[in-house]
Amino acid sequence: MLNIRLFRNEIKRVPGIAYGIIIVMVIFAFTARNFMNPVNLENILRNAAILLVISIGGTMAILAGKIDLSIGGIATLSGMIGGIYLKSIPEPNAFNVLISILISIAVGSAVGAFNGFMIGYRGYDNWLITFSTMSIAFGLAQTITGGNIVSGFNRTVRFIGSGQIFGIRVLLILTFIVVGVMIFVMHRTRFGLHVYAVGDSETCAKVSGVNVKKTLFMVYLLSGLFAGLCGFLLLSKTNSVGPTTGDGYEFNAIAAIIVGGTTFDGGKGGLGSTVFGALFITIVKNGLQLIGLSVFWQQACVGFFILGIILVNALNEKRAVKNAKRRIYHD
Amino acid sequence: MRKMSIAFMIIFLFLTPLFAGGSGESADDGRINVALIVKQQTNDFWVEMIANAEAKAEELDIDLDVLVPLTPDSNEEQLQLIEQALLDSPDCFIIAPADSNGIVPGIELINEAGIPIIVCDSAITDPSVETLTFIGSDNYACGYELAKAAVRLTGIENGKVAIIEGRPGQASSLERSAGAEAAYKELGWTVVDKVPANWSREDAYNASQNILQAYPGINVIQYNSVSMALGAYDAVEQSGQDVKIVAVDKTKESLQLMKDTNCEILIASVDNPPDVMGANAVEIAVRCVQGEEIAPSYLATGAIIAPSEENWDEMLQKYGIV
Repeated sequence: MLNIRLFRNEIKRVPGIAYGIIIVMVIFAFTARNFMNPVNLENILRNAAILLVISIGGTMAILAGKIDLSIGGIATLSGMIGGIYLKSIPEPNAFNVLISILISIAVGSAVGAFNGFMIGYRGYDNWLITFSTMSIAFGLAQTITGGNIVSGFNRTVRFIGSGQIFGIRVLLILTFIVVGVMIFVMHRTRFGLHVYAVGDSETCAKVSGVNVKKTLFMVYLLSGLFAGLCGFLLLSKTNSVGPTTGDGYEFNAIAAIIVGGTTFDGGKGGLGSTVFGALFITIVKNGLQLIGLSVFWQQACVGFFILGIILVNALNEKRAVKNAKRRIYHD
Repeated sequence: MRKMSIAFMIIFLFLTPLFAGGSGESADDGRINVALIVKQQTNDFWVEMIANAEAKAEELDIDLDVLVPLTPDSNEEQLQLIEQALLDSPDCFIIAPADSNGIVPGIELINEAGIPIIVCDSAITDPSVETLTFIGSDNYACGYELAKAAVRLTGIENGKVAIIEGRPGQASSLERSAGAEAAYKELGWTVVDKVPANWSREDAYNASQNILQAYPGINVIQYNSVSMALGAYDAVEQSGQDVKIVAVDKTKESLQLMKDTNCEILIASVDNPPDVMGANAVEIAVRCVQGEEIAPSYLATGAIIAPSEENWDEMLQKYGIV
């Protein structure tokens, strides 16, 4: 008896998006040729990986009740600078690659720190600040290369993006570690709990002794850091970085985050949900492409799928609130 | 929650092979199967190219898989499309790379699978990968000839010109600009500015407005694609300045406009025939699969399209413009 109830409660707590993923996978398994091919499933994971890494910062910002529109721009700029460094070396080796990663991360963190300073310590509007830094980052990326694409790297550089260790893609291992560490940070450390607290209510957090300014600063700093890392990953995976490489990633990330179940109210959801969200978005895109739909329909269908999930999430939320009220009044 | 989700995922992973059987039949039915990966489908040039490639595929009775990135000109998505297409192991690939160097990891995968690759529109120059042939227009020559035509048709000496480019960094756009710049320099004209407008009509409109503001007295604006020129047409017309337009490519819309306005503003374009490219690529793909010898490249320099040229009436007739 107890077990059944426990089981039922557990089922209720599985994020809705997990069912969404299962449903679309079943649909595509029957309709899309090669969808269930192991190679395709691996492709999906690899495509989701980069979206997931860039969504880490976005998730933290949204959990803190803010937004970070600059991640796509930061990824482009930092990938570009890392790429220019690599291009300046005739035959980059592993050490150069490491330096390039550090450069990308440093550039990303610097822009992130600027966002964090302006929003956390100076209290400027987060939409405006991150929108401007997005524009600045894309603009700088274009300026430093005169609008050209930096591309054509050797296999050492591309190892992280497309190489394998023991038959497993390096990109997947790296993503797994990064996301694992960040999930731990968000749920088991003081900083993570502070982010949730700030997102729930800045005033309450402040009154309870949370350093709101510092928390917000750290959120944007980390967001920039992961966007910077993502810039290198894009370079390594696609063998090129151009002025428009990260274009659109900010909105794909937001879609992945919201679809996953993190809400714009702040304080609700988490990185775990974003993992599902990123998988969902990637699966839908991949499946629709395999079905052979025209590219215009694909675009529209991606929208419909996202809308569907968001509506279901909203309904669930409503029902949960209703149930909670009922319990208060009846028990 | 976590336990549950993990359990679900594991169960699901075990179930997946069951579904795998249902995921469609493989395309191995003896027909020739060609994968065509283009840059985008939001621009008349590619729409026409795809339509003609499909028509040719039907004529030759082969399977043609047309793959288009959701984000126009996205190298990343083109790489994903290659990975997807490889699952079907087609007999031949036709690829129009958005980034000639960036596409290399994808080309390596196709090389590993031992499938021939026909490159079109923008050439791949990396010596570490193998491609069968290149089909395209000589972009440098296109820009060069068009610039010469612009100088000839305006009859101005030491004029000033601005170039509206496509997406920053793309080889086809860069080569067209380089050709144009060389020609203008030879003929004593000054290129006052080069502005990228991402092959987009709207961006071209804005860029043209800015140029007209910034450089009064400019004589010609050269566009690296005709769709950008069409987008910017109103901006130039409404500026009230005596500025002429020339553009690479032609579409039915542009020909109609030239005819209707008597080439008052859009004075010339240079042909960069997408129909020929699409159909040729498919035909060569089939010949290659059948084991015929293929030349290393099929380059075409488009003809200048203007009322002063011989092909003018023929061109109008072909597009049904009277």
